[in-house]
Amino acid sequence: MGGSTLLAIAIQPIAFIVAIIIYYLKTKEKQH
Amino acid sequence: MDLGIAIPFLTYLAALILVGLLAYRKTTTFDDFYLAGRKLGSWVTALSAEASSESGWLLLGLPGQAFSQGLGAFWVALGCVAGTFFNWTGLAPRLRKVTGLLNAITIPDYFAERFNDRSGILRIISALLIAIFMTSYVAAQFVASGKALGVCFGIDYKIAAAIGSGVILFYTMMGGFFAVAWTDVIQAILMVIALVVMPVVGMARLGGWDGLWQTIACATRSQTSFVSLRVGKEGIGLLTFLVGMIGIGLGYPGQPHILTRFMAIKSTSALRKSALVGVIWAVIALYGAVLVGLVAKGLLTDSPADPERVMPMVAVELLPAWLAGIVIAAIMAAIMSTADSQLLVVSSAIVQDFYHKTFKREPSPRNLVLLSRVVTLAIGLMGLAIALGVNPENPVGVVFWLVLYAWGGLASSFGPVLLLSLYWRRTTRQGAIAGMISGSATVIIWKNIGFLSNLLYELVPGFLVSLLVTIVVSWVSKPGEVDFEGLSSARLQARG
Repeated sequence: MGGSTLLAIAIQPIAFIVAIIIYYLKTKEKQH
Repeated sequence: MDLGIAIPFLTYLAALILVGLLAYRKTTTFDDFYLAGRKLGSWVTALSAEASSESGWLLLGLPGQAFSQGLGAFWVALGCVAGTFFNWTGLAPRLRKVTGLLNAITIPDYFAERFNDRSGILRIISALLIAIFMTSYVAAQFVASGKALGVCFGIDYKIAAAIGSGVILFYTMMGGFFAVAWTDVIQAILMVIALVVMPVVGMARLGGWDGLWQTIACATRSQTSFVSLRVGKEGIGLLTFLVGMIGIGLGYPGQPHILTRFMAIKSTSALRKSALVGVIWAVIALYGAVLVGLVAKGLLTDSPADPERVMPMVAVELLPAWLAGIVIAAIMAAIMSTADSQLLVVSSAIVQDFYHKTFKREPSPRNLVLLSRVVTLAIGLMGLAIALGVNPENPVGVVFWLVLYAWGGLASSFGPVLLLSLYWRRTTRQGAIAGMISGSATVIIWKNIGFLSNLLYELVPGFLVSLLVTIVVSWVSKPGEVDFEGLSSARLQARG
């Protein structure tokens, strides 16, 4: 399996987790 | 029967019954039975929504797809996590706020209040769509429970289906939403344990990440599309494949059994933590399920006739008996956590939307809860009767045929209308009715035309047609008498 395929797969879950952490922190700021 | 496998599984069933009995004492009002009195905490809401949204498909279907199709299954995981992400961050906060203001207990309740539906037509159409799609969905989960239990413990299909559905019915009927939500927590934890343990142990057996890919490459030499994200497709074929796979995620905003979780949380601010927990759970579970299928490809030397059985097969082959028992409990957990939530949604559509609101019956709160229990039992028995009528040698019969429509049908009936009703104040009652009917009709027609069905998953055109029709009909019809934002402000002021 090529490196680009592996990257395309690995980046998906990481991107979602980073995005939800950002959402969590941003909405926390708003509440304060 | 292997006792090592049976003990963890029976412990799990006993825990569900205990939760049903404990929740029974907390369930005294109608609001308790169908929405846990809007008192759910962040963790329970998150895990309950996730366990309810992913059925036996997550532990049987998705690993099976990865086993037979290869890396292409990652696109399904992408679509599903994207749908989950949108539900938590975009839809849930607004839906909780608005349904709380309108005091809506069910999705038809919300539509009726939002569009000031005095005729009751909108309520009846949406409750009917829920009753039709969801009852067949519940029956299919009972069939799946009979199939899974029968295979794992070597017992007769009918006895297995009766045991599985009997336990679900008991705790749902006794404890209502509280029991369903708390058992969902146990079930979500079991599911995620299975979906982490299986790929990790499997990869360790195959010699790590590199060993997995080398074994798969050897096993699929004649099927090069297996290790390609393009699955051997080009141009339009690739585009429709990707749209169809990722498009499964469009189904999330239209599933009443998921949406009621957002409505039941104690406050909109508690949703923040739920979103974090829910999305992380979905990422682990969905990508884990795809990895299970790939690990199975590397481990199993003989391909099973039914690829959907790879997960229990690998569990029994790979894990010690007690851990395999937990994985089998997790498969049942996935089935049960969806069936119980759907059972409550159908029951609420009948008791709240038909009996209480359409026929204007006003029984005492105690009798209303009693009636809800009786109706839940009746729907469950109806689902069981359908499940028992299925030929165990060929359970992929009428029920599963209907289930194919259920996810897409509910998504197209409710998804676009719900989103527009929350975000576009110009949406009208006529637009909503037209959108629901056109969306569900498109799914049924598309699925029945072979050429179209092979080209693209019916949910995508169903969703788009419903969206377009709702917008166009809303534009040309007279705006409703009630200004939605105005109504909300008025109620807020009235509450001080």
